[in-house]
Amino acid sequence: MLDMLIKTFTKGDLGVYKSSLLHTTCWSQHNTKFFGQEKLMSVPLTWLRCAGRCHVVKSITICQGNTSVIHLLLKPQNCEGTINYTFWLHDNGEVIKSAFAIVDTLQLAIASNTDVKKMILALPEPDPLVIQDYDQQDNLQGEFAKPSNVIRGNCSFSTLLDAWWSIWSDPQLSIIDEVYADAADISLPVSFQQQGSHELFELVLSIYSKLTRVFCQLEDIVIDGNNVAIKWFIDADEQGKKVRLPLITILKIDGHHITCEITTFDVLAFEKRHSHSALFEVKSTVRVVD
Amino acid sequence: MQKNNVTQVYWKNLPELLSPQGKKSQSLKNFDSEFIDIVDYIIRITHRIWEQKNIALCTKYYAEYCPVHTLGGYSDDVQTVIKNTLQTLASFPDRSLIGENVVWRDLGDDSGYYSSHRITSIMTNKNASEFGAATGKTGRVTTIADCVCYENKIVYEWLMRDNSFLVKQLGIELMDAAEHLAELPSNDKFEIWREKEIARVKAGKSSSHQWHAPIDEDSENFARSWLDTIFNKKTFGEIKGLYHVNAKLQWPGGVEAVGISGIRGVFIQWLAQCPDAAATCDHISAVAFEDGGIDIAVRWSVVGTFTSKKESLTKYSGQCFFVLGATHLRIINGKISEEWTVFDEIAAYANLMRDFNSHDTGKGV
Repeated sequence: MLDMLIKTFTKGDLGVYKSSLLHTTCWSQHNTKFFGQEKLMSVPLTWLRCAGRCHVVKSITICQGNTSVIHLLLKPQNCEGTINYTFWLHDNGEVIKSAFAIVDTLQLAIASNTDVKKMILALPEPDPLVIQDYDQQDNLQGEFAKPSNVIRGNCSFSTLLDAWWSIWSDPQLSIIDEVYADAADISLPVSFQQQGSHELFELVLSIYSKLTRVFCQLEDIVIDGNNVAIKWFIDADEQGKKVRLPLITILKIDGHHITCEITTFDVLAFEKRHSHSALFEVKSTVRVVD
Repeated sequence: MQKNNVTQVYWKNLPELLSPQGKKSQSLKNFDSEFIDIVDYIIRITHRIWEQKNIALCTKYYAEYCPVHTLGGYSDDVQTVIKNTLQTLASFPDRSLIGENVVWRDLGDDSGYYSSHRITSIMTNKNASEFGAATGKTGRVTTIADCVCYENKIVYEWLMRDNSFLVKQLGIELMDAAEHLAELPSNDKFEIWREKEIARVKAGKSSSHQWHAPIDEDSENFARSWLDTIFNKKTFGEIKGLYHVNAKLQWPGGVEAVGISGIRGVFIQWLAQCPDAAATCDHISAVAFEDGGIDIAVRWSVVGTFTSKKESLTKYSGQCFFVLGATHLRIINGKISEEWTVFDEIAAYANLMRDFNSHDTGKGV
């Protein structure tokens, strides 16, 4: 799958891409689900139109069962910036049944020197989404998903993953320094450089400051050796309206600490779906949560 | 639940499904010999009629008298099936049907097979449709078609389509689409069926379409418990016993939820518009899922008193609200990991509007 994705999304090998798809394949990206050959082909074509040819700076593959999570750090030709593109695939090694992919579109806008408003216009129309209001409190029922009750099979660091989850879900900011190694490499959206735990602290704090009734929902976890991939989303209220931000986080664990994290979310697709939102304050200039 | 050799569609590509190489795995009494099982039959006839546009094949694969129930209308002759198919293709010329799953039940040689076919359709609205003028936009819709298949023909069908999700993608307001549909003429047979169904569900009676064919008992009990817990008892605290903590749910109109809290919210919000809702479980099918677990298909009906607080809908409060719905559940390790529920929200609201208008003239349900 790694080879297919690299050939498709860096060189435009649509033949190898097509041969990896079923007629029932669903590809979800930019808050839109793509079904059917024409729509599926538009995924790499739209990417290549925005990013052009590029090469892989770094890749990570995490597999468990029929799930493959592949992260590509891509660098378009003729520009300095890099772009995080993470794929969450349900596949059998030959064909993809479903793909959920997140592109850091803010990085893409910067790397391709495109105004964010133009980039938002270039993104596909998001699918209609109705997030029904619900009680986001646990009310002592212990029914929220956390890593230890979603992990398939044995895992020696489930306690560490639960602690990491609590940074976002509680939010238990004070344990950041316990969970991460001192020199942890943390990559958050719109970052071109290594970041540290301070930026993570600020990001979590900012989301909880700007939104109300924040709720983190874990969707799936894949563990392969010391690498972990987590699919999750944040639901919250903003100006009385519900918003949803899907994320994929990739963690590398060494002993009892996280040494590396790559969290990806699609800022501009979020802006397109929730046009009233001021969460990321994206106008024509590039600013992420501050 | 025992596995069998009947076709599973999950990992198969279309060419493989259209040229099955396996041996015949079901008796298929008086079906064409080319079909190896009921899933093969459903997948291939759907492809031939819809994607190869051989609409006349409806006369081959539908009985001359074939009742088709939707929440928006009724027909019982194959010529109407052909007419409706043709009109839909004219409105959406590139409509493609992607068969996601077929959950079936062997009803015995004297009754045939029951199939519940979940389909994702992609289609571009190039000409006027039942929802109004052409929009030129491409949309996606989930349909569940429940069919009784007997001796190579579909002899009874219940068709549920998530039209509210489709119209939202086409840029049409839900209530505008409902008003447009409400203005189209209804037919007497449909109104008689709807009235009878409402009376039946209110009385808590089973549908007359019951078969004594065997079904996996655990699956049947689970499906009945699911329906009763949520729609009848409304004991939403018990949802955590039915769903995994990261279960996914898709409901009409773009409603999506993951996890116990979100799923509970979907049911509370939906049932709040019909607080005295009563539901009947009209049919259950269950098959083993090839990647482990069980797929259950439930067709159900809900009736209650419409009680909306939305400004655009309050005038219909107090009227009877009726929904014909279908749900596919994927059960992994005894709990739901994924749910797809389909019904036609537009038709449900259009029926309220029709009844409201009829009340003014002394009629209406």
